[in-house]
Amino acid sequence: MNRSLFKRYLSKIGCYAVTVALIIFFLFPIYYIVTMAFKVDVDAMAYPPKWIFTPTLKNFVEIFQDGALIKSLINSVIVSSACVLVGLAAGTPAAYALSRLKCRWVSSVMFFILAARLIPPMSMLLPIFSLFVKLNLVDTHLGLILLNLTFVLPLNVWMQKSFFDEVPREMEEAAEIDGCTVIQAFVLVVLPLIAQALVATAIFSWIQAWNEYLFALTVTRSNARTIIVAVNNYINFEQMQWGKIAATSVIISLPVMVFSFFVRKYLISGLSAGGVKA
Amino acid sequence: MKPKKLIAILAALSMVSGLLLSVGCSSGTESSSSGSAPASGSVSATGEASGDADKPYAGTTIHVLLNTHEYYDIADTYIPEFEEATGIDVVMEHVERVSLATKQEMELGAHTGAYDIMLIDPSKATRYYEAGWVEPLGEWIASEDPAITDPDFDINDYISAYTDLLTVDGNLCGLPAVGETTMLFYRKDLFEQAGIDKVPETWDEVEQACIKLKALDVDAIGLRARAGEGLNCYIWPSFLYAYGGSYVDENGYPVLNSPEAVAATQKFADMINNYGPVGGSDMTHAEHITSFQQGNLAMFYDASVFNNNFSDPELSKVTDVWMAAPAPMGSNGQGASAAATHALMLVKDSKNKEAAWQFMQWYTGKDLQRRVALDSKTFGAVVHQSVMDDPEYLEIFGGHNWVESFHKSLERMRPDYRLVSYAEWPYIGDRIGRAIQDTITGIGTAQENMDALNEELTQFFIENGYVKQ
Amino acid sequence: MQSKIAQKRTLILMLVPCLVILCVIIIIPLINLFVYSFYDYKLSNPNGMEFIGWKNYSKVIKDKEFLNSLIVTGKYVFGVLITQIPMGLLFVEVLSHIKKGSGLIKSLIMPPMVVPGVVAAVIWRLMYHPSTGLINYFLGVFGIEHAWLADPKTTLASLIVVDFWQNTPFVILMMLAGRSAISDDLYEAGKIDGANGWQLFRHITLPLLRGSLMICILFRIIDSLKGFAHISLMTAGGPGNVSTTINYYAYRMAFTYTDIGYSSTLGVFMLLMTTLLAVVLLKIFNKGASN
Repeated sequence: MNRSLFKRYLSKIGCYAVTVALIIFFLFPIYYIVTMAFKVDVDAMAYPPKWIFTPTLKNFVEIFQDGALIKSLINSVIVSSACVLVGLAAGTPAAYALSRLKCRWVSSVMFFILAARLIPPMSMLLPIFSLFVKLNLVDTHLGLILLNLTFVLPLNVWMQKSFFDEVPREMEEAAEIDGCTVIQAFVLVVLPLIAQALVATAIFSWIQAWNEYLFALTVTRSNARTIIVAVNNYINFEQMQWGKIAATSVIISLPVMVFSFFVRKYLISGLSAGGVKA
Repeated sequence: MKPKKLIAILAALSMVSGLLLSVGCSSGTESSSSGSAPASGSVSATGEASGDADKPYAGTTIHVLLNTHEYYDIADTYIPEFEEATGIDVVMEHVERVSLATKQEMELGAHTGAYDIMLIDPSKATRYYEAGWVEPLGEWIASEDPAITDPDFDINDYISAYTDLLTVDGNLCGLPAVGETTMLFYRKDLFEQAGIDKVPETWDEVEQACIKLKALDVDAIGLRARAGEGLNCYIWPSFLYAYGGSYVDENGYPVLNSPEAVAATQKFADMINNYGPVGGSDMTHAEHITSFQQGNLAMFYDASVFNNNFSDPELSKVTDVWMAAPAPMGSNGQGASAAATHALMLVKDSKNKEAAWQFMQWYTGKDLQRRVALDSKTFGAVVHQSVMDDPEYLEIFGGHNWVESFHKSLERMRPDYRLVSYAEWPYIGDRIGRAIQDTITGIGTAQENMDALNEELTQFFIENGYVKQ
Repeated sequence: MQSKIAQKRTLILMLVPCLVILCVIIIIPLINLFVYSFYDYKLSNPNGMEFIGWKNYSKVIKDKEFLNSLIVTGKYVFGVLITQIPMGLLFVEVLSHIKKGSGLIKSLIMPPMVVPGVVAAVIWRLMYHPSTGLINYFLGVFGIEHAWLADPKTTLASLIVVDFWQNTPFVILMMLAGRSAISDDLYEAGKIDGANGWQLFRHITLPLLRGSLMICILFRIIDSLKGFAHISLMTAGGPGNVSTTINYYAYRMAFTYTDIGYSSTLGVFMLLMTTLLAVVLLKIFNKGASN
């Protein structure tokens, strides 16, 4: 009895050790860049590293002196939100349909949707740019949203479908026998079941759209520029403004982290309760 | 509110807004719908220029796309004055240099004309000119019309090394805004400690100094090692020419595997491996600058523009002890230093060339450059001779022997320091850089790498018509 | 109750908006991609495009750089999968033994996933610095001072570590999602039958995680093939071409040398390869699922 109890304690300590090690590994670089943002450059690059230092807000102040930054922040919010909404609005019904339709072409369609994500973005840039010039979509929010959807939509469809696949059809069938149409059953019965998984997908979609750089760089000029393009100017090793680079990195990452933190309740349980327990 | 209800409402809302958005309303600000060049606002309904004779271009908007640089950060703050004086509205966009190339060339290749002014530098000048993207400036400069070219505008005050590098087939392709040459930065205190009493003037003397400095347990010298036409291929040619090598022979055939070139490459690699920091085989100037600032590097041979990086106490620990010396030469007096510039070019597809030209003259002109240098006290990389001779300028930037070293180094520059007159220079330079870095890293010997390089380039030059058959 | 046909029609209609949007954005660039690959198209060539048939393709096959980039890509993707997927599974197991604070733990591992690729590249490039980086600072205790990125022997491995840092949280979260759909009753039954931890994992967890596993592997392969920011900022494909993946090579062709024709050909190759991979993967998983 004692021996197996001891083994259980040991394995439990082992589990905690692994967890702690992983968390330190994941979080330390974040701590590193955040502290760098509050250091003057000469302190930031000091070696041996200065763990104790006088913090300064200088880097942030200098970055925000760029008036266009606020505008680019708003642009990012618009584009990311729209992508999340369209991704959910167009992707969720599609995923449901693909999950419920018993046709041979379902897997081909799934594959076609995935194909959008397979095309190397580099190769898409020039044709997209020429197309956008002709359609007057350059430097517009709409153009950027459409481009981001090429990877947000497949993500939505594939993730949602796997969650829908978990939901047994008995639930909709019961509702349909009671007189519900497909859509009613979908919205009133099935959706609420994976509601929290929707939040998880929304977060992933937001993150992807927010961080997207290549398309945003090419198809926006001064009107629709997103914040990641605007602040990427500091993230280069030619001017070596380390403090600004760090502050910039914090600014880009902060909105998403804050957002994820506040909805983490939904995210955690959403991913954990992906379906109905069998 | 129960999650179920919330989600249902959200779902309904999403569907509606999603449908609305995908049906394609062009959201954003009013001006965002223009994907093409902004209309020339200076022309009224009757087609004549509006505004008084003093401001012939009032009401025009010009779009400028440039890289990020300290000069623009400061110069941009003076733009409202320009706008006030001319009535021209200036929309400035800055993108960091590497990404800028992508963006620029896409716009130029599609001939959108959305930007009136863009960045040009020597490594791109030939290619841009041959592609028909650049408006040659010769006629604009020569214009007698004061409404086009200010009578005080003096093209000869621009440092000729820079304008030469931007001239293709006799046509000037851009107005320099920022310029540099290469020089040797060193720590006078470490030199004293190591017993080096003469500032090195040749690469052999530099090596002697390295040996003495190594005994002090510091990294003796920093040289760009990473492959790239603007990276190691910006520093290595100093060695190539110092050893009496050259890129091509009189018929245009590459001779990069000549004994001189191989020796130069070997020496370059040796200095990096033996006297440079650990892991130096992949370093760029970024790491060396930081190292020098932190006091861990004794010598640094690189672009002149970094003087302020070393003088600013918030950036550097060695503000009082750094000095500059002219670019070292070879033992028999041969050798070369580099020169480079960032310049503004007038886009051929621009629909507002006159207004853009006004801006270019002002933005790179000696008055503004002088003001920026004196007001900021940090930007010294001006492109005007008169500004560099100005006593007030010398007071701020003359210390550390920097200005003198700048002038001496610039004398040693040669236009074929890099083969920028070849349109495919970026590819050629990158390929040469690869051979050099491979030698440094130890992938193949100098002879092997340069032999392989020379073979490939010979093929390439023949195919592209660079050799006399 | 709606008729079966009406139901089917509704379902298909639900599919339409998504497909329409994707078609609009994909078809034209896809066509262009294939078309350009048959042309000699350099952006700065004032004479425009010149039809050259299969020349680009034969150039690609003979291109040593391209072949090298294939090998590099293969190594990179393999390294990514072999580190991230097992870690995902391991962590899922570990976390299932920890009841308290699991919510907090899950939210603590999110940040690397949220941070943009360029930021991750900056952080790790600084940390990898041979003499002033934090990694060598900590390893200095063991007397190790190594040029992680500059030494061609360790470059790829160092990049894979960064990818691991950035993307394992995604793998973990996806697997956790799948794991919690598995009922505890199954595990109880297994334990009563006398199964030990490993057997429970192998016969209950693993098979039932099939869906999550497939998505993880699929998306990780696709995304690591497209990975760009890390390589661009940390090694620029070097030293030499040790870290030049096929995607980075295509980028260099397209944007440094503006050789659109050749880059499109590379893009076609990339597309074919990823498609092939995806098809094979899906077949394997679908076959397994039907067992």
